[in-house]
Amino acid sequence: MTADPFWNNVRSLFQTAAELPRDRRAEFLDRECRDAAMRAEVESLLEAHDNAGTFLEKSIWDLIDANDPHRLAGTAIGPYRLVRPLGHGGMGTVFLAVRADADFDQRVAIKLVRGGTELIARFRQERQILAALEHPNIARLIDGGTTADGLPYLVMEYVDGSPIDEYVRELSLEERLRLFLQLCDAVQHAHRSLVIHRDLKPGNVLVTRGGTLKLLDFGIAKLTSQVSETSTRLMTPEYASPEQLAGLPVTTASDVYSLGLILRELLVYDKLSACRPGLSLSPTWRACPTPKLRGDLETIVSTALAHEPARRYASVEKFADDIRNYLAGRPIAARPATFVYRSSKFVRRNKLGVAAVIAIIAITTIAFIATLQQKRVAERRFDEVRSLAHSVVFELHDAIATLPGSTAARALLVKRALVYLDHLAEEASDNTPLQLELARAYLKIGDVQGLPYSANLGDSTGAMRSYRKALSIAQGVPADDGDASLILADAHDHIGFVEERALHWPVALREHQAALAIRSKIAHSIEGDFAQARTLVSIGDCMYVGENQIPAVQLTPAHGWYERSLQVLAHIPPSADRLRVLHDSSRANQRLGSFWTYRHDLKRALQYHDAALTGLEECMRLAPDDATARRNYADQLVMKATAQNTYGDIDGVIEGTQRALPILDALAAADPKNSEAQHDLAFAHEQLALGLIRKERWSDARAQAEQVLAIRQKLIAADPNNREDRRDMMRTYGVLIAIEKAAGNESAVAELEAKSKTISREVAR
Amino acid sequence: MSEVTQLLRDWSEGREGARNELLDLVYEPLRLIAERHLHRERQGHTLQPTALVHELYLRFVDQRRVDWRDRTHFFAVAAQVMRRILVDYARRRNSEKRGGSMLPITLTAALDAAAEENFDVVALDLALENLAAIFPQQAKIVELRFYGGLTLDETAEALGISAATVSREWTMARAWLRRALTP
Repeated sequence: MTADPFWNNVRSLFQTAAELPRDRRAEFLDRECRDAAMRAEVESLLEAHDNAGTFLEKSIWDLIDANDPHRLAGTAIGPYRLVRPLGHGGMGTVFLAVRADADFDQRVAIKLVRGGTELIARFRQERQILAALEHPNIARLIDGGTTADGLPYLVMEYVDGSPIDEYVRELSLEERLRLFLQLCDAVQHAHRSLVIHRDLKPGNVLVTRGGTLKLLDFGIAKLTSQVSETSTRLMTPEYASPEQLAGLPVTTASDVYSLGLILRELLVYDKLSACRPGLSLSPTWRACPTPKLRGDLETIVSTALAHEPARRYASVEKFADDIRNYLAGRPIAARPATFVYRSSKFVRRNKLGVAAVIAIIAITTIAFIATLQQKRVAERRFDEVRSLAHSVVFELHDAIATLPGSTAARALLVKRALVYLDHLAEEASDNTPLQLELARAYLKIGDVQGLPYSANLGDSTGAMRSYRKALSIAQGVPADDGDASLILADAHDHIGFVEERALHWPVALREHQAALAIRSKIAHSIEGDFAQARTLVSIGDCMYVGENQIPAVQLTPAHGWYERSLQVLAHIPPSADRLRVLHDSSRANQRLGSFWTYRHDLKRALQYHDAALTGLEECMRLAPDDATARRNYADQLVMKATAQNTYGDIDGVIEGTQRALPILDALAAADPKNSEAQHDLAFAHEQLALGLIRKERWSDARAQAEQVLAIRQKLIAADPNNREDRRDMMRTYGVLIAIEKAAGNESAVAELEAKSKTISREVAR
Repeated sequence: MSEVTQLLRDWSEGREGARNELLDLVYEPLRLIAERHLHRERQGHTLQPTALVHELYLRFVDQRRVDWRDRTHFFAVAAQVMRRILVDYARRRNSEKRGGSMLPITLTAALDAAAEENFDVVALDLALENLAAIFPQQAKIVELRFYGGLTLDETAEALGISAATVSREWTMARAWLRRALTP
């Protein structure tokens, strides 16, 4: 039972009212419930109760039983009898069926649709399209009609064959190409009849034992005159073209792209063992030394796979012509793309800079000691010590904060200054400005110790201690002090950040909401707007990432918070601090990109991710020496890659992570103590590994995953209290398990699964 | 006595941690059985989907030595496992949206059935989690009835409360979840 009296009252009021006739409930609540909030709660539950219908009345097992396609076996549909389900597609279930009234055993495939009117409309469309397509390589439409329940069905030629990618395993290169030409013929025929297939993939291309290829499933096809309407929901992302993934209009060039993917797969299939590109980071067919994918074939595949539709083959016919040219030993029409060598000179290591910082620390430490000794002699030196400490903590620290490799130096600097400030604060506990300065210094050292998502030493326990100290000092200052309010709000936010890292979402949410409440009372200022925008993003993060942990009554849609943050930032004049406006808006855009990826709205996700990328690219241009700007840009490439991995734009994943990795590598090498840089690097390698797995480039994927493992092991050893590191490690184990499974290393799989289980218990604790 | 039976007894005697150990122990086999079941499906054999849980139960529990209370407890665990499998599967399907022939038919049928009843199993899971934060017993009742397929009386027996209480709490839980899943 719940301990909360509010909810206990809601329950007893609801349960009594639910048993009353509807017209007597209001009177009952008037009498028994005086609390308006409680009454609203009870009434909304009663409304849901009245509208519940049969909701949840059947258990999931009953629902499965009722929907299990096997139940339909034996059912008669028109003159046909269903035998068994063959598969389940985007629109319905396909059954093997026989013609009941025939003298001979005629086997057919019957596609039955279940679902809403939209699907039924598509289904009718497929029927119309198929009726117009007559070609030996396209599965024939035999019949169609409507069942007794009014659901439409299609009767199609039953193709007893294997998917093309399985069929080609035993074939020679030439045989594979000739088979592929049959597919080109079928697609070309469809294009001539003004039909775009839009879902070409090996699963839709079957080859009979006699070697005849049959193209199936025009389920999401469109007539070419209707291309403006887009549909990304039903297609298969792995074989979709970039414009399809982006939700842009689809043309015959999209089918050319999908054909290119299929061809590439047919050519490298089961030859992966011969393809060991090692650590190379270039795309599959560039790295793969398989002789087949060199020279003209490589050019043909890469022409079909050009990102821009206009740079692909102008038609399937032209694509097929080049394959015929290749087979006949004639020169091909396509020209090789220029190979652009990407230099990794993104980061200029600033060893001199770091050395200079260390020298400054030595000098200031000596100055401190000298000044402090003087202070003991003469109290009037008090203000001078204070101003020196202030200068070290704030000015010097801020000056070196953006230098790569300065994290350790910053920690040392702030820690030293803090010792002196502590002494001073003890001696002047009633001095408000000094107390505030001390609170600010604690915030700063907390950041250096372990503020997530910025350069830090990975000491979350120490950071929390420092933030709590800042909080308690600022709380000791009179409440009407505006500066104290700012520090309080910052301290709440920063504690929230650390709690986020520890995956304590409800706690983090409470802290950020406390910060927002304080900020909304402070007088409006540019600095305040920046801070408020950041708090809004954090609340959005709790709602989005912490969704599972936040109680329903507190849960609000995350994107609303992110959008509010963008609105606040849009009101800051660009002249104030263009770099910061760009940076902070990009962060909100990035979150929206991830949020919509999670909600499966690809179009919006990519829009926001691209907006973030553009913003961060400009930041990098405006501040070429800023390590954080480079980091954020690289990080955004990786975040976009996570979205691309979700939607199956694997080439995009590989390209993006390969642009990000040299930047992140250089940043990590320049600042070896910065654990955030290690997090970033691990995450990027991991996304690349996931992409490589989807490409079945196992040895490349393994090399990437092993790097991730090594980094994560170090991170866990360095910060044993960090739960997020452990959760990340579970994901890494998952990646390795997939790789070992594919390699058939059962003992390695078992070992990894045991490790993963152990760590999952540690995370749950 | 099998390990599962021992854990069931430990759990009913209130040993901390027995529930989680039990869950770990049965999740994998249940998943394997589900996979095998789906494989059979492709071979064309029909198997009642409810056989999933029963088969698992038979495999792990020596029935002669187990009293009815243990059996109910077992279904309680199976209900949790079913909930997890469904949500995992729905998340995977949402994130991959892979081509049709790759989808296991039975689990797809479950998700389609849920969609026809106008809810999504991932959203239901989250709403149930939120309900559990306030009314843990109501959430338990939903788990046993909806994911476990237990009747009202069996649920009462499993939780050691009266059928009338189960019925009252169920009514409220259903209203709560309906509200949470209404856009």
